[in-house]
Amino acid sequence: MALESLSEAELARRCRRGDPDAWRALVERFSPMVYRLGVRMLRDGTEAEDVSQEVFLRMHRSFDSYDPTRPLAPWVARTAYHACLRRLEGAARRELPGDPEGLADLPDERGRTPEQAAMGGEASALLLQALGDLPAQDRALLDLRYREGLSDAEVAEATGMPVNTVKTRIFRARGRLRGWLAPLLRRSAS
Amino acid sequence: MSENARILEERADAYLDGDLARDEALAFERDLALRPEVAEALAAALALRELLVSLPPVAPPPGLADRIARMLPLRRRAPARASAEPAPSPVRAALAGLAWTFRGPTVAALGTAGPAMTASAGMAQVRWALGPFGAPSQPAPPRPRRPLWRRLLLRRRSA
Repeated sequence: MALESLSEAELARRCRRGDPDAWRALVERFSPMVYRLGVRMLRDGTEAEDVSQEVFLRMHRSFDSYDPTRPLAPWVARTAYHACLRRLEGAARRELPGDPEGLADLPDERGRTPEQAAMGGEASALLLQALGDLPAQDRALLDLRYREGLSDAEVAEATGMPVNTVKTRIFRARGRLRGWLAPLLRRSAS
Repeated sequence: MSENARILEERADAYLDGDLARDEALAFERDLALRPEVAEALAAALALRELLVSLPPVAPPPGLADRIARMLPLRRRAPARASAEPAPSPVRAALAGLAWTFRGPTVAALGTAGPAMTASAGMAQVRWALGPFGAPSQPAPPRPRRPLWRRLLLRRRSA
């Protein structure tokens, strides 16, 4: 069976055995998610790339701590989320703010920068801007919930927060976005 | 934001998340038909989710997965030792047989050694007599040297 189509449980089992091909498949499967989360939280492509490497190194070192009866994505997201938080805390200690314009230079999957995308989709550009004004943890919660498709329980598992806290924070973050994007949302809704 | 608007948004979100109890969900659906502000709150909540979901995804830089995989300490497992071990050569087998021919009588004599023989001397004699059949000693495989990144990480962690 091709490694790309392996179930998460089987992939995890092979990774635990130290199968290099399984590890490569794991990296192929989850590195885009880790990178995206890094970009959303750190707002810097280079930092996101560094954190992606760190995340997989950590996972490789501590794979025995993974419970194979649980889905793999929240575990990967958890490692990534905490790695990003550590970097943010480190940056705050060094007083090196993340690049607030970092996202502007990152191409999307169609190779367009957000500015280019904005020309065809003002809504996306405005939302990106509004997301940038949210705290990094809230950006991560929204990203995991809506972009990566995790459930509230899985987001809670990934972030180590209680489910109710996740729901409350997501609700508040959505509320802030709604406030900022009200005219746009009214237009979209009508 | 007014308290009413906040409650409406909360209900709309809970409805969309499937967090309302059946009765509450039915009441919300009734309100939808009767109160335009409820319909508006639901439409706005939906529009925001749609926007969040349809945001163009950030593409990872080309070759990122390859770079990560190259950095991981992935090694092919060494084949099982039994299969890696070369088959005994005919010369070695013949020498082992010859040794047994000479040592055989010693093993036979072990039972007649008498009470004067100490236990350790007896065991040494047995080990010597069975020597040709013992597994050839395998030198321990050299321990792979940790890559630099790992040593640096360990040093940083222990500092």
